[in-house]
Amino acid sequence: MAELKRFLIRRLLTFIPTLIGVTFIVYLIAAVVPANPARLWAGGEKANQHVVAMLIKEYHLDQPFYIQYYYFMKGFLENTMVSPVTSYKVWHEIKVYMPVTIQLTLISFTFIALIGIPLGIISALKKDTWIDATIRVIALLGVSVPIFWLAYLLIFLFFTKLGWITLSGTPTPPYSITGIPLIDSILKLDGRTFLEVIKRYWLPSLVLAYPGIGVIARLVRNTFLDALGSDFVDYVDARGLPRNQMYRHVLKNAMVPIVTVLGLQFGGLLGGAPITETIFGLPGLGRFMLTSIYSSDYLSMVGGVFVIALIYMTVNLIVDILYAVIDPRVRY
Amino acid sequence: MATKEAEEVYEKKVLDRVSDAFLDALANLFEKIRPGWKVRNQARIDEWKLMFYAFNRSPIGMAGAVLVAIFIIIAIVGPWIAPFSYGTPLSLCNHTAYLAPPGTTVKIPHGCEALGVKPGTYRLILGGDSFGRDLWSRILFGARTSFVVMILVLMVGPWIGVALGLISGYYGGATDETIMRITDMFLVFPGLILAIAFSAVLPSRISLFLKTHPWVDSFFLHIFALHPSERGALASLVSVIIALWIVWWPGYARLVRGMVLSEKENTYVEAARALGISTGSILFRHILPNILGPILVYLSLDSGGVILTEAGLSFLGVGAVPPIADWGRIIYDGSQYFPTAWWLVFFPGLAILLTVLGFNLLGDTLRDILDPRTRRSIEFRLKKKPKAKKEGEEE
Amino acid sequence: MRCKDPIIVVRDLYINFYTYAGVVRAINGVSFDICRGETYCLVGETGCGKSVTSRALTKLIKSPGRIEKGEIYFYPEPGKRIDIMKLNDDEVRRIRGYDVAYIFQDPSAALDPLYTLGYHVAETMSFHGVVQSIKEGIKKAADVLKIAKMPDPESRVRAFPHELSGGMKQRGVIGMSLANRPKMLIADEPTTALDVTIQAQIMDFLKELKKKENLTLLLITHNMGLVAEMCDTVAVMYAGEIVEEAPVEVLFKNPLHPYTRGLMRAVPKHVGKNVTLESIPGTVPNLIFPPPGCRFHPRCPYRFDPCDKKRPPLIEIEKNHKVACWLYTKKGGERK
Repeated sequence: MAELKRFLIRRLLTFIPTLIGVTFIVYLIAAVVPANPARLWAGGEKANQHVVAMLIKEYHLDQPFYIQYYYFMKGFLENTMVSPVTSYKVWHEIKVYMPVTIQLTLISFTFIALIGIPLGIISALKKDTWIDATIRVIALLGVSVPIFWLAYLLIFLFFTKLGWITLSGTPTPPYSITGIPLIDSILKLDGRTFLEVIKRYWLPSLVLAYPGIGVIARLVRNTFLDALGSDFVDYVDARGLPRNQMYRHVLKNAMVPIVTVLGLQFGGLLGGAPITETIFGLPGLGRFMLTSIYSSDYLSMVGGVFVIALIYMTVNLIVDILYAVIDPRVRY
Repeated sequence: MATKEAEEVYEKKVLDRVSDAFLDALANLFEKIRPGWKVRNQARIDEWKLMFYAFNRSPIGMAGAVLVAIFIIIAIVGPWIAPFSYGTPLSLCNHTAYLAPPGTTVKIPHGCEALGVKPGTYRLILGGDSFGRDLWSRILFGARTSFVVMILVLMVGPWIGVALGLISGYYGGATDETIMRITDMFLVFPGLILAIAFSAVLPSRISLFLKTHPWVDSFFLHIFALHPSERGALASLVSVIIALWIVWWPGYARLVRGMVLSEKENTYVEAARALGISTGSILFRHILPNILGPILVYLSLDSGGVILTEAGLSFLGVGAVPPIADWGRIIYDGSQYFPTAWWLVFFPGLAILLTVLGFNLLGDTLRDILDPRTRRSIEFRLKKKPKAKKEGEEE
Repeated sequence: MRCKDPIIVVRDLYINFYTYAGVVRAINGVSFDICRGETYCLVGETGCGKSVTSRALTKLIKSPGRIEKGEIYFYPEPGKRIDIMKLNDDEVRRIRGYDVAYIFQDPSAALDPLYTLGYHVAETMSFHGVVQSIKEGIKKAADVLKIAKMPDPESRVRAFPHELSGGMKQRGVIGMSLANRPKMLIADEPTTALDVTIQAQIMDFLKELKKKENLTLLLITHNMGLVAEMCDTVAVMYAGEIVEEAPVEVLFKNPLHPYTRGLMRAVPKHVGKNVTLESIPGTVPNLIFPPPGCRFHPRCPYRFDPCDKKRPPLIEIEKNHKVACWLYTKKGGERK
């Protein structure tokens, strides 16, 4: 346990330089590349000179960019940084938009794990049969299909034709524990809200998850077959152990790379969120970042980058812990 | 002797003969450049022939190759065979072209020559969009856009990663640590969002640059098959390419670093170092050729990824700007009329799907064939028959 | 038949591997018997089919390999004959690891890195019904490891493979294979992956064990020194065929097949004296296109007319001494 604690502290400490690095890079690109952001914020070509001067002063735009960055980070972390475009505090906006993205990605992630892994295993067990071929085609389509196109086709089917889904609003229960309705409803054992959340999110989550399902199914199939060909499996056979016992060994060994790639898929989900949220009318972090980018509101954008990097690093930390649980060779 | 008997075992198909002829020609070429090459590399030539046989017998690989070939051919000749130019607004001449469903016949009267259209009756096989532009023509032009972006991205982005990975893996120590930390920073962040940010902020600078460098401008104008009047749209496309360079290297840096680390252990590197061969030469002339196979497989799998990402960026409105024909952008523009004008979404999406699918099928098969372990299982299935006879003869 | 009380009888075994480069005719008509209680050795160069032959005894051949034809009989007790080729997968699994146990070359690869040594031993016992559950098996694992002379067996039970040295892993593997008190042990180059001092320990231990447990041992090796020390009967394999079989003293005194002679010359006899170590010219042939006739003829210094046309039969020259070479048939005898 003490080891785990030390590992966690060490890893959490590495978050800091990475977060600074990521936000700095994005800040650098976003702040330095466009010419005269203050004028853009003040309304473009016809901007009031007075307002522009005020904005320049307020956001230290007359200073070198690393000083700007310093003031931005300070203001952001102290929660005093106000977006010049929306006039809201950046943290406030993030708090509003984040739950949607978290629910979307969590449900997607569940789909990836619950659909992708079994598909891969079935495919490996039924290698070179029509079942295998079908699953491989499904998986391959997953990594080849443009999800925005798939989203439209499914909207046509489920919204226009069948009327099963809605494309506006998000369920919000009257209570709030974590601020994320999905988790709150589970904690409160509130089945109705839970079902409402699922009803609103299942299709966008499925669309977002499909590439990940494809990746995981293919990976599971290959690692499963790889493990099946390894020497210790030969030796399981040589000891006359039954087939299920052999699969037990194979599956546990295959889990090691699978867990890693599952973690990586979370990044893919966060990356796909802007597209999915835009099409399905979900007010989430991805769409928030898109609007910030369109309106040159780079302060909000870097804030969003900060949060997404944080989520992603946390997921990777969890992956590393799982890794060590599965594989005794890995030390914390 | 072994090759001669191999011919008895393999039932050669036409394609096998084609690939044999190709490889033999290649081998003869090398032989001309460096006499004696053929004898020294006979085993390698035979191995390559076997790999081609395996490929020729993989229906998946063949399907992929066909899809990719169609894509490349359309990308090259598409702008010439398209019935209209990508931006010809037919609805100015005949209102029936406005959101015309697939198969609509449009009569173009006299007086439209200014748009570059001769009078006559035209059939819009895939329909028209909200400006009455012919969707089929736009999809043909769109192939060029996707193809050029793909090539330009893959020619630079991954190789930045390869170079950094080589350096990082070979030198180790502080160099390695620095490069890998920077790589990690790019990897903890979804590339698509980063690319969106880049594509959004870069155009203003790029258009400035293009204005001052006319030859770069006309180079891009030509390869994207754009009208000179649409220079202004170039900046956004170039921005997408640069944005994708920036997000496309970290994965390769990681991959190559890992491969270099294991390659470094080999005696040939040891020997090259002992002989006093320069580091650059060891890296690029000795290590790189040995890890090129996996890199090429990744490149072929990534080709689809680049097309998909580029389309995604255009769909989000940060890539190609109107009137450039770009598959992602056509879907974005058409989505406002969805589902009434479903063809504006359906057909360009199908084009993306088939192209990316082609690259993935091809890449998958290449990976299986280049990996000796899986290659065995591929040919195992093909080769049961000829053996039964041989056994009898042998006894 | 060579033995009065055989434990294994193999007749006319053919095994092919269907690989990407063609069909490898790995085992080409091999026949032999192993007597109960003896140590039978298979020797030959790498790739000559020793391992494949030994694995075939319990149908442990995986795709792309296939047993084409042949008969394999196993006698768990004198007079009780089991036709291995007629058993289905489940039935043959019951024999593997219970009656016939294997030790493979590389102990590091034999153990699942994600499970403890105790678990490995326990699962081997539990699925053959020697213990009721994995839990009970783990309790008994220490005793099993004690038999294998594992130092500090109680704590090794909880150790993961990566925490053990090569020698300890091999002891663990031996312990595991002995856990169910098998009647026959097949040791496939059990010491090749270990360093020399540990090799000697393991071999001594195997010898001792064999005596104590009344095991039949099938030893596969390319080390002629080990053969001299361990074996009762030796079969020399070349390119998927048995070329010579004899009691160990006979073989060392009077090797007949040119290949066997070559193998003998490749062993240094007197350390310190001027001995030239000879090698057999050439390499094991490509078994996709094996040489016609006698498979050794391209490398054979004595080859003559029939060698490259007809395959020599394995014939008994003196008692229990068989050789497959045209030099010793009537027709070839004159040439000798």
